[in-house]
Amino acid sequence: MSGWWIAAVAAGGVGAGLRVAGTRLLETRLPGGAATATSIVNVVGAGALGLVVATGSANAALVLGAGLLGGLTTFSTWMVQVDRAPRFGAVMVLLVVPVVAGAAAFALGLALV
Amino acid sequence: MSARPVDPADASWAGLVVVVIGGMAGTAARLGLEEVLATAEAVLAANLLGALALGWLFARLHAHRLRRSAVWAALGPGLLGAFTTFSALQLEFVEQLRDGYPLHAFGYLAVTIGLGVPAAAVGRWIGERAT
Repeated sequence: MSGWWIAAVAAGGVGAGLRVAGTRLLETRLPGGAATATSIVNVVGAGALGLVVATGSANAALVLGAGLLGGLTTFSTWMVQVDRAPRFGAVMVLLVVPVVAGAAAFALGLALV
Repeated sequence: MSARPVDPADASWAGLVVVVIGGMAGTAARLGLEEVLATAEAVLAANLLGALALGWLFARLHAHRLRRSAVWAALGPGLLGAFTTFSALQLEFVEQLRDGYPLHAFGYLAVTIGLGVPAAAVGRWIGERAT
């Protein structure tokens, strides 16, 4: 177990803390509440991962990519929010928008470096 | 604040420390999976397992009014939030597209989400029926 691996685990904890803090700050200010906040954090994290991958550094990919941004972004919370969404229309928006925006953000991040 | 709807993204400010600790455990588990599986498979497995587990845990939270508890903060937004990942899902999707495998890319996305939503629902179903 290398020092980089331990750094990645620590960074993942920090990412999770940033996600919860970011969600709390955003959710009362946005239509759609916490589900919108989670989607924004996820899309921002996907864009940031594009930047990290574009640097070509394996250690950055481990610590900042798999660690920090893996911990910052979440799939489980997103899926439970979809499962709890009130209407079919809300389910579709909550599924499609983050997927399209997240892929675009990641590709943009890749292209920027 | 009690009027705010309960959501799986929520933990109190005071819960942030245990979120970080849970997040470290979730990240370690995900990185561990990546040691034994190929990255794309590890991300898929973590995401589906995590969606199932969070669906269950969130249903239990409702049953036991655990919303403000440190246990929820550590295991929900912390452990399972960090165990699963959205950014790596997008990496797999976009990289497979760029490598010229659109069927793989859309298939990976479709399997992840097509099984992820039912996984969360099954977890909730089990959690609502447990005593």
